[in-house]
Amino acid sequence: MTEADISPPEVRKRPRVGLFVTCLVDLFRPSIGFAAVKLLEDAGCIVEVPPQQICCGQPAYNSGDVAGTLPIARQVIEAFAGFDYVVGPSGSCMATLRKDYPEMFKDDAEWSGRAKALAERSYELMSFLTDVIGAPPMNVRFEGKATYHDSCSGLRTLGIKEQPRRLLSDVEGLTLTEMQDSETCCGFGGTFCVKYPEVSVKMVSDKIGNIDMTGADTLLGGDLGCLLNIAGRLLRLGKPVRVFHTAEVLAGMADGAAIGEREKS
Amino acid sequence: MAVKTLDFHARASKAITNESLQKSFSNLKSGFVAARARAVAALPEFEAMREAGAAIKDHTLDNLDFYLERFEAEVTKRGGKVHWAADAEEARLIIREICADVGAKTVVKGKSMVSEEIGLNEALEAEGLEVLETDAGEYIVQLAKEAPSHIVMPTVHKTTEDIADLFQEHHRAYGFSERAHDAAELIAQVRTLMRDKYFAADVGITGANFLIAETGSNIIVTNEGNGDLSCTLARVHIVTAGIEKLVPTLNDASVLLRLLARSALGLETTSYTTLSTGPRRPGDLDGPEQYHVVLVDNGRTKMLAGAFRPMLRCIRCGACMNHCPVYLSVGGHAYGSVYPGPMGSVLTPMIAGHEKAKELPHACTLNGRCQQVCPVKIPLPDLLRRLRHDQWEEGFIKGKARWGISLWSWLAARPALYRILTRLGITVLGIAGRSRGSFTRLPLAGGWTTGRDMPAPQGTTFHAAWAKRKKRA
Amino acid sequence: MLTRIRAALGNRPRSKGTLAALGERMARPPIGPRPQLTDDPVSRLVAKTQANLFSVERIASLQMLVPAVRALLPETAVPDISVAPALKHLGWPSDWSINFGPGRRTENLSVTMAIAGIAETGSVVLRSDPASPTTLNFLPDVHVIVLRTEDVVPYPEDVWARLRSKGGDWPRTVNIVAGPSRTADVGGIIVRPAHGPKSVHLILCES
Repeated sequence: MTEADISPPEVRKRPRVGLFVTCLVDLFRPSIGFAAVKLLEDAGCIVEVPPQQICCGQPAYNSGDVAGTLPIARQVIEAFAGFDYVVGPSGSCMATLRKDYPEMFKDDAEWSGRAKALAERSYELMSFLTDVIGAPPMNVRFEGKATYHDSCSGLRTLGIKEQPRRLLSDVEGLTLTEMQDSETCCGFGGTFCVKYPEVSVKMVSDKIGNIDMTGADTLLGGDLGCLLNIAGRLLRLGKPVRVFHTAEVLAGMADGAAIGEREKS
Repeated sequence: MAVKTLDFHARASKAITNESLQKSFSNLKSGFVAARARAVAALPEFEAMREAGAAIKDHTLDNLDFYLERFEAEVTKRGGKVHWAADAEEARLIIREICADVGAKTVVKGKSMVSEEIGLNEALEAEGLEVLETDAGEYIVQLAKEAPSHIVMPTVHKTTEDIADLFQEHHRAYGFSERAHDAAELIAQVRTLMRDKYFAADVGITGANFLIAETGSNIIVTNEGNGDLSCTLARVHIVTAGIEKLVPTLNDASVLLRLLARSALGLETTSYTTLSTGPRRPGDLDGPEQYHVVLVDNGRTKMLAGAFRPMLRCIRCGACMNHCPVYLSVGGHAYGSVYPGPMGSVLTPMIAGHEKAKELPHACTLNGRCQQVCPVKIPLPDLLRRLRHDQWEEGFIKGKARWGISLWSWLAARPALYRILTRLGITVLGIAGRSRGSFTRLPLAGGWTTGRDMPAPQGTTFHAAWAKRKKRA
Repeated sequence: MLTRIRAALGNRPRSKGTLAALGERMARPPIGPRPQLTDDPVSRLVAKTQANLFSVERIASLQMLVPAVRALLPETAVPDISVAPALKHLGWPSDWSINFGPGRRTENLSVTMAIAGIAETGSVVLRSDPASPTTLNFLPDVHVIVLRTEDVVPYPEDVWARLRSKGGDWPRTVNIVAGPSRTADVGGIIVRPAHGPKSVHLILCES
C-alpha cells in the first residue's frame, strides 16, 4: 500500500492535519498551538492533535543520547501515522522529523519506511501554509513595527525564509523592518544556552543590538526556543520590545500578553 | 597535538569580557564575511564548484592509497623523498633526523597548520635549532609565545597596539629602537629582519595547501611571499602535509583553488600560488638541494574508515569559523587547540581523542551556518552531533548532563505520566508567574537566569486546554 | 601507512575496470566547473592584472624591452638591476650594472620572462629553469615580468595542458603571481609589500 492509497488529499476535500504541538509550546505558550489550529482550519484543514505526542526527541538526540531518542521518535511516528500532513509551529522540531528521523532509522528495516513516510508529510507551519496549502489571506490587523528573526533549523534545514514574510506582508498595520544579521543564531541552541550561558548571552545580546537598530517594537519568529531566549534577555535588559510567534500575529491572536509579559488584569 | 581544551567554558567566558579581543573581531565579522559574500555572488558557478570540490575530495579519499602511491613515485622520480609519519611523534622524529643529517642550525618556516598540529617548533628548538616563523602573523604569535587563534589569520585576536608593544620589546636586537606607529612600519621591520634569516637558513619548512599526485608537486598559496623565500633560499625544503591534502591532478587543484581563495578571503586568488616539485635541477641557479615531503597521518586514517571521512575534505579555508557565531564571540584561543571553530571541534577530538576534547563538540548551537558556507560541503553540524553520540556511548558524558537528559527521554516516552507531571508543574509556575510575566530566578534554571529572565508559562498546557475544547465541542 | 589506509577503505581490491578508469582520469584529467569568460583573453588579462594592482604596458617586440625597463628606473643613477639569463641576449647597455644570476639580498628591480598569463584571475605564470631563477620573482622591490600575448590563455587548466604537452620534465618551481606581496596580519590592514615585491610591472609583448 502506498502513501497515496491511505490518504489522497486531492480526492478528499479537506486534508487531515495532525498538529505537532512541540513540547515548548505545550508547556510555555499554548496560544501558539491554538493560533496554528486556527490558521490550519481557516486554510481548510481538519486539525487533530494526537495525544500520544510529547517531544520530537531533539534534546536527547543533540545531547548524544541516540538510544533514548528512538522510543520518542517511534512514539511520534506511530501517533501521526495516517494523517495527510503533520504540521508544527517550529522549524527546529519539524526539521528533526523531516531530516533526522529517516537518518536515525536508516538501518532499521521495520521503521525506516515509516520514518521516511512521516518525514515526507511533515511541514513547518509557515511553509505548509505557503508552499503546500496556499492559505487564503488572513484579514488580520496588528499594530506594530516588527522585525523578524530567522531561526536556524527552519532557515537552513527547511529553507524557511520568504514564507513567513510573505504571510506577514498581508497583516494590516504591521510594518516589517529587516534587522542586520537576521540569519545569525540567537544563542539558544537547545541545551547550549544553559551549558554555556555566558556565550549564549553574548550571542543573544548581539541579536538584541541588531533588533534595537531597526527601532522595532515587536520581534517575531517561528521557533519558541529562540523567542524565549530573546524575550528573556530583552526582559533582563528592560527593553520594551514585545515578542510573539508569527502564528499568533497571523491568527489575530496577538492581542494578549506577549512572551514574558505580565498579563493585563 | 598540544590540546588544552578541558576548560573551554572558562576560557570562553573570559574572552567575552576581553574588550581588545572583541574589538579585533569586528574585522572578521564585517570584513571577511562581506568579502566572501561578494565573491560568491559574483560567481554563478560557485555552487557547482562546491559540488565538484566535494566530489573531487571524495574521489581522492576513496582512492587515497592509489593516489598516494602515485604521488610518492612522482616525487621520487624527481629526486625528492617522501616520508610517512603515522603520528605526531614519528613526524617530529623524521624532521629532526633530516635536520640532523644536513647539519642544520637554523630553520625558517612558512605557514603550516600541520606543523602546529605535530608540535614541531618545540621539538626542533629542544634540539638546539633556531626556528623562525616567517609569515608575519605566525611570526607575531611566535614572538608572543601564543598559538594562532585562526587558521588563516593567526593574529586576528591582536590589535595593532598589541603588536607594536611586542615589537618594541623584541626588535631592539635588530636595531629598531623606535616604536613603530602603524601596520606599515611594523611590517617593514619584519621584512627587513627576515631577509637575513632566509639567506642564512639551512632548512625551509612549508606546509601544503595541496599535493598533486600527477606531478608529485606541493602547492602553497600565500600573499606575503614568505613561503617561497623560505623554500627557495634554504638548502633543504621540507614539506609537512596531512595525507588528505592530496588531489589527483592540477585540474582538480584548480577547482579547489577557486573555492579556497573566495572562501578564505573573499578573493579570486591570492598573490602567490606556488608549485614546488623536487629539489634543484642540474644547471639551476637557485632552489633547495634536497626536497622532502613528510606525509602525516595522526588520526586521519581513523577518520577515513568511518563516519568522519567527509571531514578529510577540509581545505582549511577558515570560512566555518569566520561565520560561526560562537567562534566570533569567544575567539580561537578558547578552543585550546591548533584548530579552532567548527572544523577544529570535529578535528581535535579525532586527532587528540575524546578525553582531551570533551567540551568541543558541545560548544556549538548546531545553527548550521558553517555547513552553508563550507566550500567542500562538509556536514559539520552532523559530524559534531555524531561526536556527541560517540561520547554518550563511550561514557564521556556523565553526571548532571547525562541523568538530566536520560530523565527527560524516559519521561517523554511516557505520555500519561508526563501529562500529569507537566500539568501540575505548569499550573504552579503559571500561578507564580502570572502577575510578573517572567522569573528572574528559578530553581534548577541557573544556566538560563544568569543573563536572562525566564518568561512565565501561560498556566495551562496545550494538551490540557485542547482536551477541554474537545469536550466542549 | 598504505596498509592502514587500505584497511580503512575496506581492503577491497580494485577491479581492472576501476584501475583503468583511474588511469584514464590521470592521463586525461577532467576539467571542473570554472567561470565563464566573455571577453577575449588578452583584454581580460590586462583588466584583471590591473585590478590586481599590476601596472601594465604593451610593447611591440622584445627589442623594445630595454628602453621600457630604462623608463622604469631613476634617470640619475646608473641602473643596477637583475635580469633573468633567459633575457640576456636582448642587448642590455654595457654601462649598466646587471646581475644575470639569482636574486640578491637587496634587489631594486628584476626582469623575468613569464611562460603564460591566465586571463581568468589576472595572473602571470613563471617557471624555474637554469635561465630563470625563482628568487628573482621574490627578492626585488619591483618585479618586471615580460609576457608574450600569444602566451595568454583563458584558464590555469590551459597552462597545465601546455606544460604537460611540452615534453621534458615538469618544472621544479611554477610561480603564479597575481599581484604585489601583501599582508593583513597587523590589525587587518593591508600592507604592501610583505616579504616580496612592492610592485609588479607587466610588459605585454605583442610578438
